[in-house]
Amino acid sequence: MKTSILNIFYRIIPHFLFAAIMILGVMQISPKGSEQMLPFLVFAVMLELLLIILGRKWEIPAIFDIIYVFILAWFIYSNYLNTRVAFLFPAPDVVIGVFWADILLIIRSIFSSFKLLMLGFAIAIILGTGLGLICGNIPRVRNMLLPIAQVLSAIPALVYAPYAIAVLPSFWTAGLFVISIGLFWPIFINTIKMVSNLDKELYDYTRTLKLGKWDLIYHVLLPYCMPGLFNTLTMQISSAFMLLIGAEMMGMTSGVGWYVKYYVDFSVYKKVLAGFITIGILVSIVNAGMTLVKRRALNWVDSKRQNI
Amino acid sequence: MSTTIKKGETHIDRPELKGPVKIRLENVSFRYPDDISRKNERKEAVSKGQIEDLSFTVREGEFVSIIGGSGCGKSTTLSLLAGLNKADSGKLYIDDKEIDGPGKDRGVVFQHYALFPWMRARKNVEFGIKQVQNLERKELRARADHYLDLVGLHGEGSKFPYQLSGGMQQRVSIARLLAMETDILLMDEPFGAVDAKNRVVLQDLLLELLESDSDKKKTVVFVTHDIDEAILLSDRILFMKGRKIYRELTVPMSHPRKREEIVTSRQYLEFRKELFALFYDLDGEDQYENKHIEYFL
Repeated sequence: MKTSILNIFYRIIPHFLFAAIMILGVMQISPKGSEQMLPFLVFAVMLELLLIILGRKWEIPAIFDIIYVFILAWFIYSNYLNTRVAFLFPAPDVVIGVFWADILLIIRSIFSSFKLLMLGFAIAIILGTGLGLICGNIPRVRNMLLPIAQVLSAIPALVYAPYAIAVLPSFWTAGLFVISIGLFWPIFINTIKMVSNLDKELYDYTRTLKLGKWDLIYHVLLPYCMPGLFNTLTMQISSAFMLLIGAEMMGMTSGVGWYVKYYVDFSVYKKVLAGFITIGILVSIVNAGMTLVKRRALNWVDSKRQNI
Repeated sequence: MSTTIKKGETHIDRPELKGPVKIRLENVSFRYPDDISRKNERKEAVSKGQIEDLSFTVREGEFVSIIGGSGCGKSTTLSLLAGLNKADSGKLYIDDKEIDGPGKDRGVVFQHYALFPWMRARKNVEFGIKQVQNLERKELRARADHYLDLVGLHGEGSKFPYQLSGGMQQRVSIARLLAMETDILLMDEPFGAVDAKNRVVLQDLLLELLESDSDKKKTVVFVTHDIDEAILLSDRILFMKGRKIYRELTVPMSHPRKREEIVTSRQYLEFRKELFALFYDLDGEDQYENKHIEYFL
């Protein structure tokens, strides 16, 4: 009984917070004008709809509590407490207004970053897994390459960026190179380690079947390395974003990193904040995509033991 | 009456097993490569899994168990037969052809099932069949399903190994072995990792499957450290100790066997006692330990 009352309480809180945001938003219509406040109110309603759709699990209302409290605090601070340096602390309705005005540019930036990231991932996965499978399977090559790989992988990939920009034909290819190489090493090393630690009985069994080298790689080693690969990717996703944003800030002319850097140079902080939120959206999209792919690709792994 | 043969004597054939010799080992010795670095240690120390001057034969259709303490070389012998290791000296033959590596004429079952976790149960069985025979999709599936049914896994074919219990996983691995339809089955403590209840069920299943094999062509070499399991399943038991075959015993019971009938028979109990004495070295030096074991007999 007690828990169910508490449960209802948890579920109601975010709706109260939403109501507070709406009331404050509507109160700002007369001083600021409906054109500025409308996108913000629409945004708040969209968030509320999202909460209603997703809010079955207890943690979703809790997440929305944090988001709503943050927006509320931000709204109150920028609109009521700190109105003098508004250009440094733009109000949430101003930042949401940027999305309204810049929507095409922001979508283009997301696509551009997404393309670069996915290409980087693809190159790193194909090369890292492919070479890792081959090297891991040949002990002589493995023992020779693993120490070298461990040294090279310790060099932060962003260090390569200025040199890559000088050597490669465009900023875009330089960015791609930096992301690919940053992701390549961990995938490569992990694959080698996975292959060389193949379960002894499983390995013996494949030998009794007299599997050919390619059959062994395709049917046994590749799926065997999949959980490790996804583990590495999940862990490397934040460093991949760091590389992506870093590379984009270094001279590219598109992408979310470029968007932030461009407006920092002009001190348009409302757009910079909008850029931050965009990066957050991009991270969420990539994370959700990764979870989806992982769930499909690793449907054979006991979910209790996935701990990825 | 059991026929006990001491080391060095040739083995006496059972009258009902007059088939040609299927597997032959001649003075086989093997030592794991890692042990070479330890050659400066005490000379008499027996390295784990080492075998020396091992000779025995297995006839077609015969079920032979190799038993012995851990590290006596029984699993090593099986791995040599499977072609997973190469003998340092001596020769191994199957149908008078020397073994020079793994072969598709031998199916192997491992203690921890060795199922591919990313393949569903049926796919695991199909994958095994595909390596020995080129079948059409439909036939492949039908055969896989047939053998899964046979081991009591009807309707479980679409489950991944992690969704099956240990006993069920070993059933899949037995179905995979049988579905490959090889003449020789090599089983390395197949029920060693299964819980006690399932072990009994699986032993009975294996016995039933092999006894219902109408051609009686399947030759089985079975490694175990479970005396009762060895007696129930085998035609002959090779007892290994100190790198060699110490004793060779013919199981005095005829087929078909029923567990509930044979375990209470006098023959079984006497044979078991003999084997037990051998296993725990009751005539040996360690009198203190032996007294305790005798108490249980």
